[in-house]
Amino acid sequence: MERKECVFLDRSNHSQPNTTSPSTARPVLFLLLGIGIGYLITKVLVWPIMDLKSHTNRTGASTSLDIDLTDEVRVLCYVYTKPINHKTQAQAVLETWGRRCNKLIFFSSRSDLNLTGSVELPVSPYFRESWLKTKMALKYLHDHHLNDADWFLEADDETYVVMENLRYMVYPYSPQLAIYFGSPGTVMSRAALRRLVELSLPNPSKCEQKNAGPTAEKLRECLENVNVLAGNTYDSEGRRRMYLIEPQARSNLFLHYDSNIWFWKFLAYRTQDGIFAWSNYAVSFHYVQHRYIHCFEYMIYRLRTFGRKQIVESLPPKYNPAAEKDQGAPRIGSDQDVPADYEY
Amino acid sequence: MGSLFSPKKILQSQYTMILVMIRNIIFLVLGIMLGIRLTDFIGYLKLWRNNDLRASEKAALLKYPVASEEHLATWLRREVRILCLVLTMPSSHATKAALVNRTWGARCNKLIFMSSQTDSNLNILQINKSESRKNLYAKVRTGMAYVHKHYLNEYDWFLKADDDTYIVMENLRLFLYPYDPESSVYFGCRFKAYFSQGYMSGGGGYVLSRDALRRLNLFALNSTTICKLNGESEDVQIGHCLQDVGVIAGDTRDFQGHHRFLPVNPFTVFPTILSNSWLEGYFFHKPNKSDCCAASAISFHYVKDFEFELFEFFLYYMRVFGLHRTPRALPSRLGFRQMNERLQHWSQQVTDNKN
Repeated sequence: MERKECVFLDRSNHSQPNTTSPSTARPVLFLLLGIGIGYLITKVLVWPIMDLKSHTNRTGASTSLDIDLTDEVRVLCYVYTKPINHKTQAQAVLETWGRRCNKLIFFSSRSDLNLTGSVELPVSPYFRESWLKTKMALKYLHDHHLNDADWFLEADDETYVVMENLRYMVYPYSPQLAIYFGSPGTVMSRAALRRLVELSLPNPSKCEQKNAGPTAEKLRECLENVNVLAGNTYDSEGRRRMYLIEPQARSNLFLHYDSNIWFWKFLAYRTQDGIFAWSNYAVSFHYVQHRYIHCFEYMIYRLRTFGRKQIVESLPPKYNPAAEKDQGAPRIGSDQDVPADYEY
Repeated sequence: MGSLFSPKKILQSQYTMILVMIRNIIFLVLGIMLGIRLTDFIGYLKLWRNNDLRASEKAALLKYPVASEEHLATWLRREVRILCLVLTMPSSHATKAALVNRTWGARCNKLIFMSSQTDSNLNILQINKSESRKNLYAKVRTGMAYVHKHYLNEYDWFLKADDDTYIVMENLRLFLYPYDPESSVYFGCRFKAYFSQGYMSGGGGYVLSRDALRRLNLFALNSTTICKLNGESEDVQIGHCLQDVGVIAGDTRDFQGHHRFLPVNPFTVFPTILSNSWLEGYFFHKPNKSDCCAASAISFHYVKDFEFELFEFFLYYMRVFGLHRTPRALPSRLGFRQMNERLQHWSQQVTDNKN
């Protein structure tokens, strides 16, 4: 009996070390193996999804664009000015929003070495804008810069344009679609510019040949007669994106409704004006004095309120690709490319 | 016996194998989780090397990694309680005071207007003194005494402003958050004066801590030897009173030397503060000439009525498509020792503006 017990105990004693020694080694090995697998999972799956590089770029420069449309939507900005405004208004445009244009051209009666991109036109030095100047500018752009940009933005030196919001507004439309936005001719697509210069300006029946008269009305007539569409510049909530008149100018010039003033004719919806009627993605401000231009730059891009909500932005879908294909099929020279009652 | 032992042995060995297998699987899973976490943390550290946040902000963000800037601002509104005292007059009730009431005044924790007449649309503390520049000082003294009597313990900071001042309240709270309201300090746009500490420009607004307001009322306004009631400018006199009772003038410039409190309108000083202007000679600290204004600016003065609308639009509504801004974290709160070091540093500052 005793001997049997001894044998039993002896066997159990012998077997216990045998079972424990492999088990003590294995957990550490499995732990290390798990760490390795975790590393691989993170490398292969998690980091590509997070895309750390773009995140790093985001945090590196506080003013870099998260969605950058500068190269995708190329905008040529041409600014009407006059010699006495070169050092103040035009210089302010050059130093602020003009830098964000893909190409910037100043049309004036005199060329200026200090004003980069200035082009001399043989017009009167006393008027910033005139119909003759507009026609000459459009021909110049068509002859020299038609393929340099997708969109052509017309402005004067008392304008402030938020270029990112402009690109966002015109992004859904193809530059091959003959369309313009804003006060007639403010933003024209390449097709619209081609159609205007090649078909409308040389034709007396479509575009008046006289050099005098209000520019906006004549330009609208010329564009409409060659079936260039007028785009919608209101946002999804019906607020204006363009032609935001700074309140001081509003209080001075447009305090009361007057059907003879062009502004009220232009404002088709005739809504009340004020910051509540302005879109959050505002595009252009007008009658902005040069100090205000610099101040707009500071307030829009530098001054920050703590606690502004960060919203997730995305690009809208491209507009009607099927119609675009139909557009592409006929020649540009045809008069019947786009019917006047075309709906989009 | 043999047959009995055999099943037991088999069961035992199977049980042991199962246990070992489970343990190994558990360690494997723990290892995987640990591996993912470690790799992610290493990437996180690499990420922060490229970040331009300061160390204190980084620490704060690590401490509260979930809170967004919007949430922090909402929380900050209760954490930094600011009572706003706004000087106005009856002729401005419907225009400037109403604009303040509708715009930045709505973001104060408490808004009180000081005027000689009452108005049902505004929260007005009526002070029966005729409206003139000579009475501004007396008006402000009365307002400070009233606030000290009724609201001293309900609010942390006490802001005095004019009705043509625009205050970015969120940036003010962000600026004040690190500082202890029980320390004897006040902030504003610091100007030079005939007394050593200088004073804070009244039009650009100045903000007193609770202890500063307490000292002002207990030791200065009740005194017959210091802080006399005379016809000098309100802001100069208040600055002199505060210096006499040991309230220290704080520094409100950002790390680039830009003043956060501006006694002028940015529309009139852009692109830079002009040389030989009336403003340049007033500053206690020489202004940064390369640029006008701070990115975290707090106050502006001589704001016209339509410019209130522009400020509201650009600060709270306007968006630039695709422009991403790095979310910011709250700076660390200063401890007792750090606060005293800061106060001592500020009290030893001398003006570097010799104009």
